[in-house]
Amino acid sequence: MFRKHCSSNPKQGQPQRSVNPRKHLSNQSPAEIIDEMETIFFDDLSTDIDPDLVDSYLAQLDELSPLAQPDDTSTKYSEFTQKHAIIMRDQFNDQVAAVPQKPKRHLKRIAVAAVAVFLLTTFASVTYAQNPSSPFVHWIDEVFSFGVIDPDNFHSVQEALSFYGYTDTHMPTWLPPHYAITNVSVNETEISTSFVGHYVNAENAEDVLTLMVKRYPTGSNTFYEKDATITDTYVSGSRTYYITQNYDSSSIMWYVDNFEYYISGDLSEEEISSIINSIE
Amino acid sequence: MYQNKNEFFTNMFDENYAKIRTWAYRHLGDYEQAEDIAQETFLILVLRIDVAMKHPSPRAWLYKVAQNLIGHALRDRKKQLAHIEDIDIALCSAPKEVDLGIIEIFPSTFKEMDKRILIMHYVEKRSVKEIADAFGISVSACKMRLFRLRQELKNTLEIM
Repeated sequence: MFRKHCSSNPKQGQPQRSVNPRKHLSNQSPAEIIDEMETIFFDDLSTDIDPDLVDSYLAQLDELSPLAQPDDTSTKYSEFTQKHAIIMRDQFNDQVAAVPQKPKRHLKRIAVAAVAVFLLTTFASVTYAQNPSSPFVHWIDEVFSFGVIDPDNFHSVQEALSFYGYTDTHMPTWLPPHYAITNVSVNETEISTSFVGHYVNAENAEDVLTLMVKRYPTGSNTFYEKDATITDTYVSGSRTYYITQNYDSSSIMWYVDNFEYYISGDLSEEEISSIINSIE
Repeated sequence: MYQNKNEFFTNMFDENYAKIRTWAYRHLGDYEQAEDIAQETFLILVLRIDVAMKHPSPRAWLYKVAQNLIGHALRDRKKQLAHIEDIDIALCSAPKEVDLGIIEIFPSTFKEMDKRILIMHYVEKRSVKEIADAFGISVSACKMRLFRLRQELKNTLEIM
């Protein structure tokens, strides 16, 4: 089982070196082994990692100090797939594309062409008194696109809301610029219709932001707890914004005219303030 | 090579979920936090499944994600511990004086493991390292757990 062992800190970007660890680990207590693991795996997070090496340490720890953890992987899998059903459906609905990526230099040409077409279209819309928000051109806060809206592939939460006929909403017009939208999903139930936008930090894929708008035909059935879970409230006009904190994640919630709004992500106080101030 | 994302994800979850949760628990000594990290690791896998499937070693990719999450949690805890070391003596001197009576003042919310940790430390006078070894968690995780338990105990004593 113990085929690999790291005997020294690896160089950046390289996996840990492998030697036989059995003799070395067998003389150590669990806490000493964990300390050694912290040095190897967490002193420098930029190093590559060898899963077999991690497993060999964990196996040794299991021998010395077994954990009474339940064998509940299938239960956890069911919970996970239910909790993230919408994201999983969106992410897994197509197969892995074997389409080769186009060279990036083409993007510049496409962008220039897109801007030119957009300017011409806007000019034509004004000239011929057409509504620029007609199905031909969709101009919304986050993106613009040409052509008919595809209900299976919305480009923004606003676009999805507009498609469903909800134009009088109270959305933020500003979100931290380092977040890019990755997908939008709509989930209709008997109680509500949810419009969810997923954003990812362009510089750190682990940093995600969620924007959700829920429409309740007969009023919200969500209850906001006014205890320790609410860390702050912000009143603007007749509207109250609820701000909660959980580890690195902050959430902003507000409710207007049968629409419940929810934003969650790793947000600073300034960003929270800017988001709230941008809400229409 | 998997062609189907569902099949790929199911296999990755089946083979690695418990290991990643155990890995996080060994370092952090907190089941809930370990569970959160395991869940977050697989949520990132869902969001970046195309990248993971094309990676030469998807398992190494997944462990790298977990490594980052556990590593950041460890750094947060080290910062907390730095503050705790300063206030710990003043805050926790009272429970240290409590002898066998400590068992009677445990809040009902304490788990058996929590009670055992407190008894080992304050009644049996075991060192933090001995307790960490006994429970198979890191010394710093044990320190953090003791601190949280003492805080809860202090709150209970104040109410009483």
